[in-house]
This record gives sequence, structure tokens and C-alpha cells, in this order.
Amino acid sequence: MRSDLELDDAIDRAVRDMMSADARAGFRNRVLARLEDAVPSTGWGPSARYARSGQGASWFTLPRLAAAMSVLAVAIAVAALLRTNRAQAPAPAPVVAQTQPAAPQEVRPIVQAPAASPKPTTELAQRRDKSRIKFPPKGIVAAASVADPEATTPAAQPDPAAAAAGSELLIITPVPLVIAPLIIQPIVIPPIRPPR
Amino acid sequence: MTATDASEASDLDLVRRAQAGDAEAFGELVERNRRAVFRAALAALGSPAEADDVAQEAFVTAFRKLGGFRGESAFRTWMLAITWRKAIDRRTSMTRWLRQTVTQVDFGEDAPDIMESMPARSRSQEDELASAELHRTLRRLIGTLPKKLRDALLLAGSGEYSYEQIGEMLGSPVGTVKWRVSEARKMLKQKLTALGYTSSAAGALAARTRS
Repeated sequence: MRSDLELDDAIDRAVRDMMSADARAGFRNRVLARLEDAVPSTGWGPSARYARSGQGASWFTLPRLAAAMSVLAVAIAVAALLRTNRAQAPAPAPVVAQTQPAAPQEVRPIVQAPAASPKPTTELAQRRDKSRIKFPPKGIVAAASVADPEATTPAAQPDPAAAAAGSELLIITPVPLVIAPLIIQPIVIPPIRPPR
Repeated sequence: MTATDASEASDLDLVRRAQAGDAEAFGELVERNRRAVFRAALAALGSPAEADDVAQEAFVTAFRKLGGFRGESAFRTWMLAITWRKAIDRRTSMTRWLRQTVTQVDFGEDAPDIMESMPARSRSQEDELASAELHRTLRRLIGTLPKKLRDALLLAGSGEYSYEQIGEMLGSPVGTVKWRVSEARKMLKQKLTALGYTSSAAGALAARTRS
């Protein structure tokens, strides 16, 4: 299996060759420079992390503050909306059922006309219309066909006042609507502490 | 604390001093672990420039998390775990970017791989004995290995880490790491055999030249 060993050796060499690179010169200084960039001039070491918390806090607290502000804005808007609705809604006045006598209706002679037949517009139509009229036989008086106002008396109308007099007056007293004032408490966000 | 003190202290001592705000101690930790961190990133990324950047990021992250380091594992192991996570994140985003950029082009066998961009070491006498073509072929074949096998092979083959450290980095048991290394070797040999590299590299090269 000499060839197998040679292949193994070739693989080892190829892997070592691929992994033989090293970081560019000045790696340590570049790392330290990155750390100094990340840590504003507050000192060194992880203890500076806490001093840096002002910068770190801005990243963490800004979204929280924004969320808190939006919640606050929504709460204010809802409160304003409720107040506006309360102001616009008319105060319900006590409702007293009242009845008044209806105005006397004008009595008109009742003339019955075929409701379904439209008015003829042409002469031919008028003739056709006349042809449809069925006259009663002679000697029989058809009331519907007599258009005599004097012969017709107005039908007795029910008196609304009299009808109302018989029923009880209903007084509706509205219950006053009480809306508790909305109290908005400030949102307290605890300070963020870096994990220790 | 002087530089000499820093170089003689243990990693844990340096961590304690760095936690107390000693810049020199942290600089010494960077110096001690620079190569291991860089090569771990290189194994995952294949690009020295990317590996350099990720290694720096890993040290910055380690510095920020230094307060939470309790010394339950070695600093290097802890550092390598951070580096590997960062390198894999970078590799994922690089692969995604490559897929988005080169979606329509099918390169087939000649598909570009980040491993192709790895730099070649300056040739030593030992390297000159090996066939240049076999070397190039192997580099390309290593790049085509499944990622899990390739990672294990490169990390183990670098000679920089113990199997335990590789297992910590990859989040796999040592046995699994060893199996992956062995499997990667087997796959490479099969591919080489399929390509005609059945005898010594020189002989294979000669055979291929004749054909």
C-alpha cells in the first residue's frame, strides 16, 4: 500500500500548505486599535465596558424609548378620542311621551279609480279605456260609480288625544354616563447593566 | 505590569489582569492565541483576508465578554469557540452572497470555491518533491469536500489544535471529529484514484502527461 501512504502524505502536505498562512503583521496592534475604537476614551479593560455603557445604552435604550413613546402617543390619542366623543355626544334630555291632537284632516270625497290602470294617453287608449268600463245594470245604483260629494260623509276618524288619554305617560330618565379619567403613568425603564 | 511579566504569566492570570483593566495583559493574550485563532478562521473561510478580519472581531468580542469568563475551560478553547462561531456566520453570509450573485451560472466541476483562494506557501524543497499538479488537484478536491468533513480535516491537519479543542469548536464529540477526518481522507483518496492518481505523485503525473 505504498501508493496509499503516498496519497496520505500528499493530503497532509496539501492541508498543511492550505493552513500555513498567518495573520498579517501588526495583528495585535490592529486588535487593540479596534478595542479603542469600540471603547471611547474611558480607560481600558472590561472595566471600561461599564464606563462605555453610555454608548452601549444608546443602542439598547433607543428602541425601547421609541417603543415607550409610541405606546404613550397611542394612549394620549385614545384619551383624546374618548374626551372628544364625550363632548360631542348630546346629553340625553328627559323624554316625556306626549301626544297632541292631530290636525284635522281635510275631508275629500272618495273617488275610487282603478289603481292598476294607468291614465290613457292617446285617443285610442281613451276609447279602449272607456270600453272597459262596466256600467251597472239599469235600476241599480252603484255607490262607487257615483261621484257626489254631498252624498258622501267623512268617515269617523279616531281622536288621538282621546287615545292618548287612556294610556299612561311614560317618563324616561337617562342614567348619567360616568367615564373615569384616564391616568397615564410614566413608563420607568430600569437602567441596563452589562452582564457580569 | 511589564511585558516580561505578561509573557511569563499563565493565560488565566492574564485573563484576570485583563478583567481588571490591564491592556498589556490582553495584548499578550492576543499575541499568544493569534495564530490559533487566525487559522481556525482560515479553515472555515479559506480566505486569509476574511480570516484576519474575523480573528480581530473574535478578539474584540472576547474582550467584551471577558467579564463572563470564569476559567472553567482554557482561554484558548473559549477563544476558539468564539472564533469558530464568528467564522461560520461569516461563511454563511459569504455563501449566501455568492449564491445571490452567481445564481444563473453553473460552473459544474469548476465551481468557484472560497478554498481556491487560499494562498500557497512559498515552496520548500519538500514541496518541490511533490507533484505540482497533484498538489493543485488536492487543493481543489479538499475544497469540494462536504463542509463538515473539510472543517475537521483542515483543523486536524493544521497541527494547531488537539482533537478535544476541535471537538469543542465544532460542537462534536472527539470520536465524531476523528471519523470525519478519516472519512475526508477516504473521500479524497477515492477521488484521486478516480482521477488516475493510483501510484506515487510523480508517477501519476507522468501517466497523466502521457495520456
